[in-house]
Amino acid sequence: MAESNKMKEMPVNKLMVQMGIPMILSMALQAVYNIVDSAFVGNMKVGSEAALNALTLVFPVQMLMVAVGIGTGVGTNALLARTLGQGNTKKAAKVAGNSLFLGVIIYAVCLLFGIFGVKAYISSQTVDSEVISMGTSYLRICCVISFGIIFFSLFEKLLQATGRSLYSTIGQVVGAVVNIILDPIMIYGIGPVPEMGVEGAAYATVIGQVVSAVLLFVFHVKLNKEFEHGVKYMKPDAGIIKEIYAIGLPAIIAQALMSIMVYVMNLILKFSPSAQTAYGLFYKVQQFVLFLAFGLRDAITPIIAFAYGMGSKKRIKDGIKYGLIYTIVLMIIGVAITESFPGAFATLFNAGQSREYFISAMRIISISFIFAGINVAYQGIYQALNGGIESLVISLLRQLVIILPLAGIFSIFVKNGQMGVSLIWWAFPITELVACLVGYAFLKRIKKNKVDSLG
Amino acid sequence: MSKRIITISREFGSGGRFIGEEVAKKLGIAYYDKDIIGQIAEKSGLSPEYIQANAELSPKKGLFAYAFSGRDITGKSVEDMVYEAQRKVILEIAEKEDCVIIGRNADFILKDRGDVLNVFIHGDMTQKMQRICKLYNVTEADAVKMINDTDKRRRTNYNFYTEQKWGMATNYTLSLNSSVLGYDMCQQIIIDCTKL
Repeated sequence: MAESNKMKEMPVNKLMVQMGIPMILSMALQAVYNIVDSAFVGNMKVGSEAALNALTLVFPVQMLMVAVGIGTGVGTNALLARTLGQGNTKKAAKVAGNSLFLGVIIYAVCLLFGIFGVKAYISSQTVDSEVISMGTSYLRICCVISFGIIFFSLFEKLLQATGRSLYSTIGQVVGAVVNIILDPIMIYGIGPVPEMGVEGAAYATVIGQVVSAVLLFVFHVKLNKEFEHGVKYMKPDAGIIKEIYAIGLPAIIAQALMSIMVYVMNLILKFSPSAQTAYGLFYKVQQFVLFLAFGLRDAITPIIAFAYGMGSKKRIKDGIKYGLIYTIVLMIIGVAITESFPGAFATLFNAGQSREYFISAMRIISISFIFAGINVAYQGIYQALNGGIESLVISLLRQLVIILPLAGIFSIFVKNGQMGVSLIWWAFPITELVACLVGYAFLKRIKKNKVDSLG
Repeated sequence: MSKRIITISREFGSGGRFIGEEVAKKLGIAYYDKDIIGQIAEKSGLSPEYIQANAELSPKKGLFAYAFSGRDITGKSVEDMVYEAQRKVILEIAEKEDCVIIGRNADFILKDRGDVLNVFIHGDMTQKMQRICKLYNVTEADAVKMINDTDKRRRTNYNFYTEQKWGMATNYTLSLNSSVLGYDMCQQIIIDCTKL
């Protein structure tokens, strides 16, 4: 079946499964990466407690680097698809070249931050000198050798734009496997390789990223024959850069919200490093579950957008219905696993002193997965029906406007000793529930304005 | 080279569509405006209503107008599919017969051909407003709003999908002010220019 026939004729539930599964798997893989990394670090013989805390504190910057890389990639990908659709291969070459130029600039900023900014950044979140030193050296390595993750994000989108997402997934898997193999070797020291602890984890991570990036670079040069490659196309073109960020900037902002939220949560929890670590570990588990919803959302959006373009009320309604049903099923599985085995995860991470906090976080915050998943699906639905603003509002509510003040206020009671840390965890389900109610109202409004008016 | 295809880009309310239709009649050639929509719909699998509402107009206004469009993994949005279909249809029409094409970024889509006369028709606000009030039976304030809104979205769409700026004199062979010249004079000038 040709691509547009599939979007037109295949039953929506089948189409969604078929489009969703590869995206869900690719998203899940990214999140597994983070979990495995933390698990190895948690099982170090010495200083694992401080190391896990350090990993928690560096995470917002890692997410921010990915946000900028992916956002730039999203803008490039959209511009490239459009340019190729118009048969303009000359401009396509320039678009690809300019995105790599932007990669160099982004890397330069990360490098400078890695050299000059890391220590101040880590110190803002903790007073423990061991954690500061571990966090600083880990993050410095990640930033100084960040060209891997940055160019991986860019090449991934360049391959996706030409319909070769399979190759970007292959590169991603190889990088993840390399990382996982190197983790024990470099963290604990095996054979001639010395024990490097947290620094070993950092090296394993960046080497994995560089391997992915190099593979994708090769795929890009060898397979993306639709346009020419060459350093001369990297010459910055203000018009193209503007076009890239006309799509990419909102994507960066949306992704960067996660990073800001985790950073501020780290500040709120600064009074208790164990709670900080517990939240950091929990966040990695949560990311795994929510990434499933993100993957599904990336199938929901184009399906409903096309159905809307077709003017098919039935396919839009099916898209909304199955999108929500599948999301809820995935989230229920996520909740079931996290609620049933919080202890197993704590053991996996060797959570130590933060074990109790971690388990309480799993118990309490996991409830919110269902609402969070629905919110993610809602955002995909809005986006398909020209509701970009509504999507942004939900992001802001979930990750900034409700959660941070609420967690901040709850933390005052905790610090005064009136309540346990788990009060802060309750801020999450409350936030997601409220956002979900607002989201439902948005959905009803969009349905009324956009869908019911169709013939 | 003689000009066998005439593209008319126009400000909302400038009478560009009317002028184009008259020119086509007088020259005895095909006239494409809304009829293109059906062809685009057929090519893309999308509904004529959606194409009518989106093919020439951006979803929102401003720099980030297309930032929130739903895109598939290759980065393509439904708007992009519409544009691709529109481009193919216009290229085919131009190959097939002499014609007048209204709007739809046809001037840019056909820019590699030597036989195209690109015309931009604009006008003064007072005249445009009066025309819109009459045509759509709206108040003066609403007419001004409609004009500004439509032109902004046409401009955003054009600037997004072409590498040119909408309304820039260098894109067009002729740029005519219909309020000053009158519709008849505009038609005459265009017809004269096809006989180059």
